[in-house]
Order: sequence, then C-alpha cells, then structure tokens
Amino acid sequence: MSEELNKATENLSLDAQAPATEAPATETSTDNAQSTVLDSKKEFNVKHPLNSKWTLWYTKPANNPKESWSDLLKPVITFSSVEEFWGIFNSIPQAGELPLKADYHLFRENIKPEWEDPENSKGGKWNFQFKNKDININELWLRTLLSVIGETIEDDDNEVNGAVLNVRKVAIRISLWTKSSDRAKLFPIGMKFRKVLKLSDADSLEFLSHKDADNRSAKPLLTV
Amino acid sequence: MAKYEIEQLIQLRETAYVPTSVDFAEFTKSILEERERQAQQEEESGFTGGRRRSSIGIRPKFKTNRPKRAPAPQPDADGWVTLDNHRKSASGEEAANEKQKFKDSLKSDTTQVKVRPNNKNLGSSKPVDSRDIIADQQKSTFNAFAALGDESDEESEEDDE
Repeated sequence: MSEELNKATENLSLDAQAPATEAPATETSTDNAQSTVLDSKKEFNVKHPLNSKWTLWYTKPANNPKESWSDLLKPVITFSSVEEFWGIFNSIPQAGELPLKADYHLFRENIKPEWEDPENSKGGKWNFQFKNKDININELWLRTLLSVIGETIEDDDNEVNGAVLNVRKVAIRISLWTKSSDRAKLFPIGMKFRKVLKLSDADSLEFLSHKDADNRSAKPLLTV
Repeated sequence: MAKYEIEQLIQLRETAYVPTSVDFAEFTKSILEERERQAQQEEESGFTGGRRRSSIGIRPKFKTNRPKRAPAPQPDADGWVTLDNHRKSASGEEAANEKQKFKDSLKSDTTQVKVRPNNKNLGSSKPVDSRDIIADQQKSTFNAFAALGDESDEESEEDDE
C-alpha cells in the first residue's frame, strides 16, 4: 500500500514535474516538508494551481412559475486548483444524472452565467445539441470542463468565459461562452471545441451572438 | 501561464481533494430527489415520451357516416328465413283504395288548416291597395318635343354670339 502511495505522489512533487509545458506544482506553505493530498486530505501543500478561479453554478428546474431565473440559478462552489476540481467533480451528480431543465455552468470567478454580465454581453456561445441520447454525455461534459479549466481550448488569454450544460427533453446542449464575437479569435476555439466534443464531419458547430439570442430566426455568426 | 492538457488533468484525478465548505451530499440528494419527482410525475401523467402518440392516452374519435345496418332476418316458426324485401305494391285495387282514403283524409275538416297572413311585422298593417301602386308609378316621362325645343334654344344662343 505504501509503495502505491509513493508511486502516486511522485507526480505531485516539485522535482518530478513531468512536461515542461505543464504548470509547476506550487507550495502553498513555507514549510519545506512536502505533503501531498494523498498524505493528508486536509493538510497538504503541493497543488496544481489553475490560471483562474472557477465557479460552478447550478440551475434547478422550476417547480413554481413564480420562481425567477435568479431564484433558480445558484453558485455552488469556487475552486482554483486541479485537486479541488476533481474533488468537486467526484462529489456532484454526473451530467447524465441531472433532472430535465437543469443546468450546470462553470464560469470564471466574478462572471455570472448571464447574457447581461458585462463580460458576456459582447460575446456569444459555441453551441452544439446532442439529440441522440445514446452519447456518453458524462465524458463529453468532463472533456469540456477539462479543456476550459486547463485553458487549452483557447490561444488568447481569458477569451473563454465559461461552459454550460443544458439538460432538456429534446436534446442535451453543451455551450462554450466567449468574451467577444471576434471571428479571428472564435475560429480556432471552435475548431478545438469540435475535437473536444468528438464531433463527426457531418456535425456542424454554430456560434451565436448573445445579441441575437432573443431572435429565434437569427442565423449563426460562424459555423465550423 | 500554466496550461493543462486534458490527458494531464485526467492523470491527476487521483489527487482529488474535496473542499469541506460545501455539503455535497445535500446538494446531490436535492438533485436526485428532483429527478425522482420528475419521473413520478411523468408516470402519473401517463406520458412516457413521444409526441402526440396515438397509441398512448386518449385517442381522437372520428365521426363516420356509415349507413345503418338492417337487423338480421329472423327465422319464422318453421325455421325459414325470408330474404325478400317486403314492399307494399303500388298497383292494384288495394293500393287504389288506400290512395282514395288518403285523399279523403286531407279533405276532411279536421285536417284542414286555415292560413292567415301575419302582417304585423310589415311596414303597414293595411292591405295593399292597387290604387297606391298606380300612384307610385314614375310621373316624369321623356318628352321628345321638349327635348327638341331645348336644342333649338342653344343653337339660337350660339347664333347670337
């Protein structure tokens, strides 16, 4: 058992950081003794920090018509490290377990998952609807989250504001919300998002501006 | 700027650390309860998916104008069934008697109905007088001589000018 622990903690030490592109694990304590999350679940000082803090939001289905959008949308938790992300992800229901009309939102801290938020108002969303319920939505949603918090989905800093999962009767929708509607910035993000969602050549990914969100007949700004 | 590939992040899954600031058990419980509630509601409503499926729930009833079927012929005392159409003959002495009987019934006083015109809703309750009709005729008629006279006047005026 101790051997297994040692093997598992090798990757977490400062000396054994594998690839050069990977972020170095940081010490959150000035103490020289390195303790990983496997040594102690509460007192460990080696973590993999994320570039941004992220907040998980949840929209519960409306049971009462008097409930407004703001009543239904609640922040769950904010995190800033890979370890925390996995701890949260393992503790909450999977995408496929959510009830109908429920949403998960993962957004940068201090950005609300609303069109009206100043960070979102000029942007839009890459959007894909999975109408076939046989897909592995848990895997696709996880890949989306990892690409967002790992920030490999974007070239520019902080162009992606967050990701949204909508569970509906007709389809399950995964969206990527962006800060701007700049085609030059959006195109590479869309191409990477296609790979994350494992879309086939026949599937098309559409970008809709938030300004056109109210207009159902609006055409997508960009399609890849 | 640190970037993590998806595969790198997946390798770090074992290092998960659950923050204690949120009661995830309570959060999970509320979501699963909501899911169960929706499933129960769906069962109660009898709707199991699909859109307006005719095989589930109330079917529409379409009116059809089918002719009514005649009752099946019953066997008589001897066990015979007659399929002939029994219609009364329109000729013969018996038929003539019946026709006369019907005509007599119409002539009888008890069956005669007096028809009175109901003129209370008309413009005038008085019966229409034939002299009034004459009075309503067009009074002005075309007078050819008068018309010729007008033309001559116009010509004379032009001559004067």
